[in-house]
Amino acid sequence: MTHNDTDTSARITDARLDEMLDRARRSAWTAPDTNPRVERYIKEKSMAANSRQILSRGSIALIVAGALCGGGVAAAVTHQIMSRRATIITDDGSVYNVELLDTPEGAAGSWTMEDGTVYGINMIEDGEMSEVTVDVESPEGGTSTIMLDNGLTPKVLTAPGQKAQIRVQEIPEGAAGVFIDEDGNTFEVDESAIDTWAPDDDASED
Amino acid sequence: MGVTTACVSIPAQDRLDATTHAGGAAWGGGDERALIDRARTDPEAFACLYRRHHRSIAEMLYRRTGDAHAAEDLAAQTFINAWRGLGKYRHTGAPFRAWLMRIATNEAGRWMVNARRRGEVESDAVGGARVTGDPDLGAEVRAAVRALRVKHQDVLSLVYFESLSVERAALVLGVRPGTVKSRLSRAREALRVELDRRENRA
Repeated sequence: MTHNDTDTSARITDARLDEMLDRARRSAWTAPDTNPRVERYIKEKSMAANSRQILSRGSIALIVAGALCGGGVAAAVTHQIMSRRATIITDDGSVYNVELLDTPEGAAGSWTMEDGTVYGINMIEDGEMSEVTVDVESPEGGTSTIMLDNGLTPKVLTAPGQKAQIRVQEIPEGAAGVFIDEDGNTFEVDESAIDTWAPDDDASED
Repeated sequence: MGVTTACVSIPAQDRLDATTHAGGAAWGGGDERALIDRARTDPEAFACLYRRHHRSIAEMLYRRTGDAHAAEDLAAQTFINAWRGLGKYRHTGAPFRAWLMRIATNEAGRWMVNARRRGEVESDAVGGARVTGDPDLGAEVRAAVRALRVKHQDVLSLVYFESLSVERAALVLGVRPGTVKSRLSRAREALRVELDRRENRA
């Protein structure tokens, strides 16, 4: 980068300033290739993901078990966190009973769709507040719902290929839900709309 | 949603970028899109991105802060923030490194403000270096830059220390190139005054 020496009264000319800044670019310190804090963070994330993957293999049996019960699986998410079970209903009426396992970041589980797609569910308990997040990534798009034991059925519509999440928080004032699209945009929904709300059409844009 | 083994399918060009750590030379150029998409749900894929960019980001933060420990801490925070914010990352055609540099720049700015409040930022000459003809001139100039306003530090750091063009610096800062140019002009003048002041005190 070149600059004109317009300020002749300055003790340090533009050319000299450029030279000094060029010298300042060179620093003797060489950073390490890795960072223990980041390594530890990634390891924790990997452990959580691996827990989910391991569970996905066992979830087939759980789904079968749910079907043997005639689909009459008790809807339970937030109020029955101790039981570590959740019910997932997709728009074709399929019901998936998901057993959750503890991970470093809370309970997590997954369920496998008929096409082999594995979806995840995470549940985090923090004091009196509990939160459940369900990943939705339907190749064909469609509707996914989770059932709460208070009768609420937060629902999300996804466009083909869209990634989304359903997140529900149980707080003393009652359940509240949000929809999070793949860009991280968050849309809040209240109880009255929680079972009818769907994302805008443009939410699926990249 | 399955966890896959990352890093295996990194294109040769990306591996080359990963080993290029010197200042602005590591702007990037390989197609990281697939890896970034995978990293949204796969920690191992994110680990590839982190290992690819960590050193250059940490060294950028060192040039900015002059403190190796702070640089490592801020680099760690940069990548943790990147992981948390990856869901919001959009493919705009800009290199992934530009996004990391923006996060790092913001972290450095916050660190600078807090360090000043605590009186931890060295605002005078480092090691008694003189402004002219001294082997520690680089450290002296970096110390002078740290005495400037954070916005001036941002633009000087990116354009001179990281050797980014005005357009690329604008991309990192999220402003128009014209804003970078005007900000750069004011920052250079402020630096000149600061260096003159140090020279007179020496």
